[in-house]
Amino acid sequence: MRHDENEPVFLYPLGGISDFILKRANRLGANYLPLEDFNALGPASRVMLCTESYRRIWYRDYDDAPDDGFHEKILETVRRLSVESAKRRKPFRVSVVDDTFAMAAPVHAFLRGFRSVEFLSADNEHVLGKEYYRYCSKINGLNMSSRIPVICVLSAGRGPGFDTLLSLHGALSRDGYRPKIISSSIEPKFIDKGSVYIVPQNQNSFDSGMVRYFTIRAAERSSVAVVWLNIESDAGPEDTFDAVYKLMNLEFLTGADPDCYVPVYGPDSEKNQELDLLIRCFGRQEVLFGAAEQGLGTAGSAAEKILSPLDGEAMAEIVIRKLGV
Amino acid sequence: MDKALIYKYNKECYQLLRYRDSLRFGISGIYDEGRNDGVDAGIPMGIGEIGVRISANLDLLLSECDITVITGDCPEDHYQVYLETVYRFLRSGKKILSCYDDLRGNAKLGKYLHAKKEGSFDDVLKKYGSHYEYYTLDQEFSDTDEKEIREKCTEVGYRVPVIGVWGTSSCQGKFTTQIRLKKGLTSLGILTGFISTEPTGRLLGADYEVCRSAGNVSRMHRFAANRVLFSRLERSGKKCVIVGGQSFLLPMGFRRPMYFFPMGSSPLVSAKIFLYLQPDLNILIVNPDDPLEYVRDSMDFMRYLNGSDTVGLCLMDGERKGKLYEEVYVKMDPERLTEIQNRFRNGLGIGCYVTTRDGDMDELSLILRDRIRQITARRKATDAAR
Repeated sequence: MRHDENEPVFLYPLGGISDFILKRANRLGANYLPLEDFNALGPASRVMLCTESYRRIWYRDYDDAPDDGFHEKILETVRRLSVESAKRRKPFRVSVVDDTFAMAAPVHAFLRGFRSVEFLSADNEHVLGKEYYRYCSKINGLNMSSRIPVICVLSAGRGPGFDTLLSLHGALSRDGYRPKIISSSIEPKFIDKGSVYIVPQNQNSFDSGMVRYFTIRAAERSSVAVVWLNIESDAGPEDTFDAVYKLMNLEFLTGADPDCYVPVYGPDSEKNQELDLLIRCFGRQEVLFGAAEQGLGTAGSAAEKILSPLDGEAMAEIVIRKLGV
Repeated sequence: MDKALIYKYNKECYQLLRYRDSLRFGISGIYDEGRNDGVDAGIPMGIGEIGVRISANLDLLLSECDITVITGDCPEDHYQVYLETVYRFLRSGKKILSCYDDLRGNAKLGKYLHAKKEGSFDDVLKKYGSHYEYYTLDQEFSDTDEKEIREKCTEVGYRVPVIGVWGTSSCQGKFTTQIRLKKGLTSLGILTGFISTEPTGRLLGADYEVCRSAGNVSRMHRFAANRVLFSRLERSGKKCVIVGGQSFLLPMGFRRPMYFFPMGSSPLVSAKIFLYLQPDLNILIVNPDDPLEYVRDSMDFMRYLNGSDTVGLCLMDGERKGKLYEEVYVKMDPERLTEIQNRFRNGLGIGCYVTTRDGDMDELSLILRDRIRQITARRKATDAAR
């Protein structure tokens, strides 16, 4: 996400999402720093609360889920930050990055300890969701004529997938195309929250119709939409989780109905093969190019040309030439 | 044996007619709202005369039956005839067996009965002395709340091989193939369980219906609920379980332009069922004119979904004609059928069998038996190694 002022944004706690963002801080164009010491926080500081609790909530839905106290740790994190904030004459401004965390009732009690709280969750998208439902209740269909080209970045690895999205978004933006991102996961909110729709999940499912709705809403201000779906699943206690992820992937893709694909290969060769198979049987549309870090997952790929996930210029050149956007 | 009047003459009715010998009731006649009046029910299906008449004379049909079986749901439009027919069933005092629609909860019927000053559905049942039974998917779990499902879903482990029968469109013989394969495997000594995706399945020997949308529970619990069914069948001694999907497996919309699907519906119904049921081996039902590429894509899609193999293709011996759900089958001549089989065999390198031919089903059953044995042996070895 972009802030006009070049103030530091402290990420807390340190872990999955914060590591992911800190590694890419330079490319994201914001002054992200790890919050290692509360004394580093000044009166204008913004703290970005990066949690991964939604996956844990998911696990807890299932009887065999490991009860490792993760939830309690998350709550303790917020509580500690809230106490530190309340000690200050000017409490912290906090941004919360999470899909479901913001909805958890126990968290709300602690959030009162902050000067301001901004939710960067998919929850925000429910506002649009309501419009979608209103629309559906009136007309059993959407105006397909307003649709813009939809490029699907389909990745078998979160890191290279995000890098490719970031490169493509940056290059298209520099060329004046104002691309809109529609994403299945939260990370693109760090790219530019104004140009991102995060598709909310409901009980481990995506509403295909809502994904479709976002692609049409995107046409209001953009000339191209880039959807990002990462097919890499987190290992769960049962193979059931893999099946749930697969179903979600299909729901998402059915709604996105991309015009073309950009497969992004990661370090897991099995997932790379799965990605190729998915594109071959589900996506009859053109594969623009593939992306992979050097030496990764290009064998038997669905794409003829493989680019570096960082090579935005080359990506944009192909997109503009082939789609004529 | 009770005699049943069936309403409507649709694909569910075809299944009951085709396998009428295995029903617990005889069939006295079929009511078809004026179409095919006086025709033998086997003729439009392409199976020759079977001695069951289709009639538009509902009074006569009702006088000849002991029970009424409703094989379709209340149409979205033009439902007046449906409501009138159900009302006449109720007034006849005969037992009503409904597949698909729960008449008790049908709002249109409720309004209709009130307009007739009859009170509620249950009032009408009582007044005319009717009895009512409802067969539906999710029967096993539909009346349970989340807490109960959580309790039931603790038994989630099973090792029994699962054979899935999927298709490239609706109304092409998936359910018929499931019944034929169950019979074929049973005759080879493989005790076979059957989880049906048709509400009429229970009438034709299915052990359970698939748990697709049971209750107000999470997707995880629906997965687990289906596992419970497999686990139960395994404990009852079944050596394999036959399951199947509905309509097509791969969304037709994957060929542009993609259609918009209204809220609540999804082109992924069969894929969802597939993922819930996790088959080990697949049979894909095809239509005679299916493009090879589409069939290949569907097989690839199954491989994507869980890495499972497609063992063979099947097709019926008739070509579908007419509107969906009102279709009739025109029997193909043997040469044309062989030509179609060869097109699939040569084009895709996979066996193509005719569901209605005994020899073909015997051959496919033998292949499946061997594959089931291999899977069972492999799983035993894996378990032993642990």
